[in-house]
Amino acid sequence: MELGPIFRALMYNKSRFWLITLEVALTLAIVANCVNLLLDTRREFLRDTGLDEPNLLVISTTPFDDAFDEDDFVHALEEEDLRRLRSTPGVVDAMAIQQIPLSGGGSATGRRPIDAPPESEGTGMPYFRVSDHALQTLGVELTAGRDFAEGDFEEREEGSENELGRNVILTQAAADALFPDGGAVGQQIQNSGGEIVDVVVGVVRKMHNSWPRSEFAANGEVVMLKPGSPGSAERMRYMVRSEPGAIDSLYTEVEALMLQTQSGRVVDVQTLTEYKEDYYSDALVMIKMLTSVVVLLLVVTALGIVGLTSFSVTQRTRQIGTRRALGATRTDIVRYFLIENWMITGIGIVIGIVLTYGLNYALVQYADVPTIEWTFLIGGALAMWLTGILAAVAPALRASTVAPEIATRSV
Amino acid sequence: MINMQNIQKIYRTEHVETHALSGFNLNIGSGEFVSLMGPSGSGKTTLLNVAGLLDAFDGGSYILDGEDVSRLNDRQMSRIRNEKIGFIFQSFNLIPDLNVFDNVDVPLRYRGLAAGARRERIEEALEIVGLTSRISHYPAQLSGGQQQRVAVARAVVGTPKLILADEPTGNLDSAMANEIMDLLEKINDLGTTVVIVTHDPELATRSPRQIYLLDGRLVDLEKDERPAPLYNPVENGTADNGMSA
Repeated sequence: MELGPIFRALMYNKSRFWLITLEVALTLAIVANCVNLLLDTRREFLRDTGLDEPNLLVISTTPFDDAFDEDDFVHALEEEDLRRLRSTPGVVDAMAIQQIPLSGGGSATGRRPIDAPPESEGTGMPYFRVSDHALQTLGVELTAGRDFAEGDFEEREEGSENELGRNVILTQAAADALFPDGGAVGQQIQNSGGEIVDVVVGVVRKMHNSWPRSEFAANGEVVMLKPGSPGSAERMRYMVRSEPGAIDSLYTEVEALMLQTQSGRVVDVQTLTEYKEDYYSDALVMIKMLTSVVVLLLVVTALGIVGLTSFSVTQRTRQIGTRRALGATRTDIVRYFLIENWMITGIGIVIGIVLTYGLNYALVQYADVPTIEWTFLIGGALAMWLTGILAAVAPALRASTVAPEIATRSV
Repeated sequence: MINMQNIQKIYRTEHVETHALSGFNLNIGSGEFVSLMGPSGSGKTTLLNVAGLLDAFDGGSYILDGEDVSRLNDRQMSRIRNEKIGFIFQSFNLIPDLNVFDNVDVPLRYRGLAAGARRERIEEALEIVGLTSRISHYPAQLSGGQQQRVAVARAVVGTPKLILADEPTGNLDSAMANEIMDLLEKINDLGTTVVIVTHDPELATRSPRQIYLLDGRLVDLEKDERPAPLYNPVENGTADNGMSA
């Protein structure tokens, strides 16, 4: 191996060495941090929502007929809609819901244990008013207590004590926030004014609320499900859980079904994933942009290495011919250029690792960016190393075709 | 050492075919010191390239040091160039990024010798050319004469049986040229066959045997019998047949 002479030659002629080394180092620093950022965003996007997200359809209807102004009409229609939806082939279950999880739009209130001191700060509590069959439709997993029972949906008499209080189901995150020592089931919780008192009857493992990207409410995991009739004259929303693979056919079918059941309303059908993608749209755009930047940067760096190595081969044609005259085989010439590039890339990677950590440190300090994981760095370094080596292959092969008789040409 | 029979070397382009060497026969014995002369384009460098296995030939047979080298592959030719032949070039052809030690080391690296053995040989070779004190210098820090001495050290470091020198004094002043010729004589005295291409008749007279080329053919005469018109390459420049020489 000619490591010593190759390194000494590189050190003697520093311009090409530093050009490629710095190119590699900067590329690694930028690529590793971009990959860190986009993987973090992607991980956030793919985070377990607790819902059977791929199989959930959202039907949003906006009435424009005066008949919808009557509460009784709306409630009766809601029941009829649900009955028809549940009996549609391919549907696992259906529910009515007031707001849509993962959509960026929702409702929140405050709750604290009933025995908490009045001055204590309550827990911010995103909530969903839901019809029956909610847990089965959403696909959330009940871990303590019970599901809603029929009686939980009965409206209390107007003006009665605790008219708006209900038996509610919390997510584990909500239960932990209110009752850190556990034992949430059976506990009473109240709003800040104390006029609404709910009873926790069940706890589900996980369910994302409407703002999972927000740090509010334990990164979107605090949720209260409150039984009721969510439909109103302004909007009636349903969620439908399809059998696996049936969602595409249901997509068009349910729209027709809703209009068959009752006209006088605009029906919009979307998958929950579409709502989520819309909510995460800026992050998804960023993922695409960063991916493009990473790919482009790697291509530009590879082209830069190809260009500089090709230039170096052309510049050293006579030198290559001389080496061939002195006994170098074609393989020796290829090896020489690959080792040279391997060294330049290697040193660039070492400098790049330092730059990567430096850049990451600055990003962590001044932007909401996670600390880079060493696995990304190893992956980035390997990618750069391979890019460097592969980029040098073509020029190295070209170098090996230089004939030894070039050495005697008086060029 | 060199036994060429009926060697043909033809350069072909799309429209032109140039016979650089045609029916060329040459015999050079072991330990000889031979000068190769001739006008520009007479085929001197072509002959040197063929003799040094730097270029292939199109016909005939060539026995080098008892080995038929007519049909060798690239790897085998590289090995013979490395082990049996030392080259000295007009422009020195030192590698500018390497210091004197590493330059002389180049052929030994391709032979796969251990570091200790290589160092010993390099120091010996530099001792012969009187450049041990410049071992860490780079070519740009040396005079032309010193650079050519490094090239001579590089040529002899592998103890080849044959030294092929292409205008080794062409870029040097007369004092330096004589120094290089002294070195080549010294190397020849050690038993190495030396073949040099030169335009300088005075330097050529220092070799016991001189070979003259004209239009790719050999005129091999004892030095006192050489024909005067072939002696001056400038006067005979009209013989240019398009070859590089």
